[in-house]
Amino acid sequence: MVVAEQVKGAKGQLLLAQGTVLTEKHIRVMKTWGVTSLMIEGGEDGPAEPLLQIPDAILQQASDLEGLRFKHVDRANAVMTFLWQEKVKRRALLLVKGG
Amino acid sequence: MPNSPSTSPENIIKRVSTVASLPQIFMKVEETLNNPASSSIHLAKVIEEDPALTGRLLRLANSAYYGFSAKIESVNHAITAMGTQQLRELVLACSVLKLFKDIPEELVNMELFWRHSIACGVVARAIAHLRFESNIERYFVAGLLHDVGRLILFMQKPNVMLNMIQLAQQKQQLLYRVENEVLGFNHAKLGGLLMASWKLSPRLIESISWHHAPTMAKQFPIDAAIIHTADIIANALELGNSGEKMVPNLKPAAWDSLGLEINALEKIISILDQQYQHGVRFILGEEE
Amino acid sequence: MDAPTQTTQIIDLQYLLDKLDTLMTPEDYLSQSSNQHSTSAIFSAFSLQIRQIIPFETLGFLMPDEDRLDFSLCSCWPNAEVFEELQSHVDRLINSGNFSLALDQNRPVITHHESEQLHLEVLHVLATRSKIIGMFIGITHESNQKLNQLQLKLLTIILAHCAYALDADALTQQINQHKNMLEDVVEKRTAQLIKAKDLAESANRAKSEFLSNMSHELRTPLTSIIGYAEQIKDKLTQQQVSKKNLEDAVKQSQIIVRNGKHLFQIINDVLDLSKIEAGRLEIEKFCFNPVEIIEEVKSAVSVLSKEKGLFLAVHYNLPFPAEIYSDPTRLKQILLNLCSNAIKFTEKGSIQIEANFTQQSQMLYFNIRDQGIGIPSDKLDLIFEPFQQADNSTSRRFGGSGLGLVICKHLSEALGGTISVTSQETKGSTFSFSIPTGKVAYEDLLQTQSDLFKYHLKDEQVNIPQLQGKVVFSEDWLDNQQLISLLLDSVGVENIATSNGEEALEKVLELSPDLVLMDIQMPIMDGKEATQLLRACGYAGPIIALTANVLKEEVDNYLALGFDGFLAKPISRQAFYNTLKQYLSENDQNNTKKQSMNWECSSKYQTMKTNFALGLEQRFHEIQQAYQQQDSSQFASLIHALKGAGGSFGYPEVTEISKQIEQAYKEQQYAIVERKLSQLKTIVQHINFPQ
Repeated sequence: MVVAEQVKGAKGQLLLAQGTVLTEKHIRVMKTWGVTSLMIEGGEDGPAEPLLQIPDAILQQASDLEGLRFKHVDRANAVMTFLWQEKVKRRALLLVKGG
Repeated sequence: MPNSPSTSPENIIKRVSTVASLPQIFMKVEETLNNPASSSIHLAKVIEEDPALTGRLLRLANSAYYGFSAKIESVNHAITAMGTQQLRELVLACSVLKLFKDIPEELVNMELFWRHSIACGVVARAIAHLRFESNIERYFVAGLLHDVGRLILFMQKPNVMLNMIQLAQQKQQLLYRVENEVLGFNHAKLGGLLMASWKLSPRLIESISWHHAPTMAKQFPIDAAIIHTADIIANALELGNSGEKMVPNLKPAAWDSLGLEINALEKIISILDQQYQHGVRFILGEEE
Repeated sequence: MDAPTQTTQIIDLQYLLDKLDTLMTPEDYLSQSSNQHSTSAIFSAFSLQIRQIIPFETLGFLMPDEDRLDFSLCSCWPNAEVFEELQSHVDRLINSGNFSLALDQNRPVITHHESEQLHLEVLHVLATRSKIIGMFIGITHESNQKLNQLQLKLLTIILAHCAYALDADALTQQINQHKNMLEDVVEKRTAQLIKAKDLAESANRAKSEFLSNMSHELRTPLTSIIGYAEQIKDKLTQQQVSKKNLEDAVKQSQIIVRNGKHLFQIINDVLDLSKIEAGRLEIEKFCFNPVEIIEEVKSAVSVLSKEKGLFLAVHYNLPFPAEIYSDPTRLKQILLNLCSNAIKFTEKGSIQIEANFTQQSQMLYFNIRDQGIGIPSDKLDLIFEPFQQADNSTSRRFGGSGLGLVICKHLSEALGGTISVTSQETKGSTFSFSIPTGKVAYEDLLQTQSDLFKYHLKDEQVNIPQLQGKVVFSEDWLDNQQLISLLLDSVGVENIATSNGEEALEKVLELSPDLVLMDIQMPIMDGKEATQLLRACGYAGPIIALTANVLKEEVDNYLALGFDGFLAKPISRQAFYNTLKQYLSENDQNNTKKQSMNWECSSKYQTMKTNFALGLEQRFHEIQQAYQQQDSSQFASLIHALKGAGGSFGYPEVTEISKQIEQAYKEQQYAIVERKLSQLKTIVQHINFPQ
């Protein structure tokens, strides 16, 4: 059995690289770190859904909509920038799904 | 409105605590735990007296909220898996909702309020997890309860609240700042006082009191920083709403004190996405 | 202290304080920091602390392996015998998922296990705020002990300390490692530097030794030169110069020539070596006949070998190439060096030069075998190193610069070949070298000895070619004019003399000669102007400049003006003949007249020489006058002419001093000019009135 997608632990550390051939040792490692499932090559699940490509216009719209909410935020701060970008993405996805 | 005696935060709380006190089940759990002689078996028995609570606890324990590899069949098992301290926190979290029942819908959408609170709780717990805190459920509780001060205000001073909300809307200002201007204090202080009146831990008290000004916390600034950060993340992602229409700004010193890398944010948000619904189900008891 | 009984709910303060006391950091492990056993010391210390809180039956510590995936037991208590038991607990806990549970939270995970008796398994992660250090496991029998909140809390605190202690220890070890690495690096560097310094110092010493050897090598021939020159002077300046005096003088002049050439060789060696060291050795490859070169070398060294009574022979292995592509000058240099070495170090016997060509490798191989003193085997490696002779006494006994072999090595390598030596002490040495020949087709190889003999040289003396043609030359100074005419007569060409540029111009345009020799410094019209005019008129024949100025810039200048080449003054006969050969065709009829004219003894030349000497005083007078009158152009042209003439007539010292005067005058160093003028005066007096 070959690992299809890399496996990370609860705190983000890499446990199994993609393409690893599973052995007893690897199973033990998974149990040690509490990994309960992983993707195997040739499994029934098809390839992961391709990420929705969000058109720029929608992103812009989302950005405009969110702009007011983030008015008091310091956009130079890395954390807030990350959160802003994440929120705009989610908003855009909603807009796309909404129609 | 200047600080008249009736509007001092202490007085407001006095009126609340005469009405509300912590649910029985929680008090019983506290008692059991305070006895050094009692064991986990005793605790399990106390909890099992409340089947609804038991059900919710077990459902939560078996969900992705915990991601345990084995199925949790009993409260005992849950205690083994989580430890007594954490179970205690969960019991507290579960029972607090009942205290805030009679708030008119026109004032605040309670569902949205709790959703925001749950999101904050889940994020706070995630941050604690990444920081190897010893009891991460208490951060869930702190996050859950961080804005109850506002509920108090809705209950005790509805008109003032409405006014302040309108003002905040007009000025496009953050609500807690309007509270500071109008009342001379904000909902955070009020929440802290409530926790104190319930004789809950100083940790909980400080983390709630100072969640808008975390660097002011004397004993537990990091706990305050955790709730402060969690609140902002929950706000930014707009999960539920507790009255704030805009996102408050992150205090860089607070973030720095957590000792996390920027890429921890990705991890935190991913945990949030995984656990949020389970938290909602646990607290609000609804089927999604 | 025992836990309080079931009925009391108040925690005994004393009990609590007592337990908290155990949290005081055990200091034992601190003193053992930065050694290999520090980790186990830490485990020991904390294991003790833990046991004071919870009386575990057995306990152990696990640490992740290098790839941070799997955990192994590193330490257990009470002894190594419990290792297997603990390991089986760990395995079971991993499989049940409790291990991962414990890894994920900073609190004890307690499980019950029933085998022979009921066990309590306590797992607790060892972690700092940012990373997992390991895992603790402790086993206790439930019947003995119930674990209360306080004990568990204390366990968490103690293990947090333990995690930080291990982290700090790991960091300390890293720092020490770095420190050691740095120390290693520094040590290595220092050793390297010391070595380099030693090398530099020994190279320096070698050079100093070389310099002192060299100064001896240079002075020795000079002593001969000066000494014999004085002898000759003495002999020829007597009132009555007898025939014996003349004969002796000739012999002694030959000694001077020989020593001069030897000195010349040494100086060239030194210059070559310095060029090699500066990486500026020039190699000029073209096609030439190797037999010619080999035979030239043979001629040159046969004098030396005859003197010592040694037998010299050259063998050519057939087939042999008629032409190869390489640098003949350098090839000759190598052969000369090796042959003269062979002769130098051999008292009696033979020197054999063997040459052979290999078609496959396209290489020419040479072996020079001698029957000399040989080289000790431990010195064989050193022999091609600079400044090393077999030993210092060798250089004193046999002379030489010690550079010859170094140069041979560099030269052979620069030509694309190799050099090596074999030797037996007292029996002799064989030096072997090879050079690539460039493409030589099999068809072009000479197959017989007689083919080779066609290329044998004539005698050692300068061979005067027999040519034909018409030569116009210009030279304003009569003596020089006569000299050149004589030279041209000796090769059999018709020659027309002119005294200045204007005359030369006329004659050239009138007669269309085969070659023009144009002096540069002339009155009325100098050589440069004349040549420019000739070229402007469309005259395309060869014009050679005769000049005492042969610096590169000036040479380039001549070529730019229209000259085809130049001849340096004082005139070297060989160069003169070579130039003539370049532009005039051979006279076949006169080929048999191979006269080795004893040039210096011809009467014509003698007359000219005497005339020159007699005229010297007058010339000096004119020069001095010009100087006193500050007539700079006259002074300069007189001195220049004297410079060109002196050497041609057998007085190179006159040329030399004139050159110095000319230079000093140009630089306006009048003090030097006057000093040199008085020296010139002395020389002139000696020439005419020997004491």
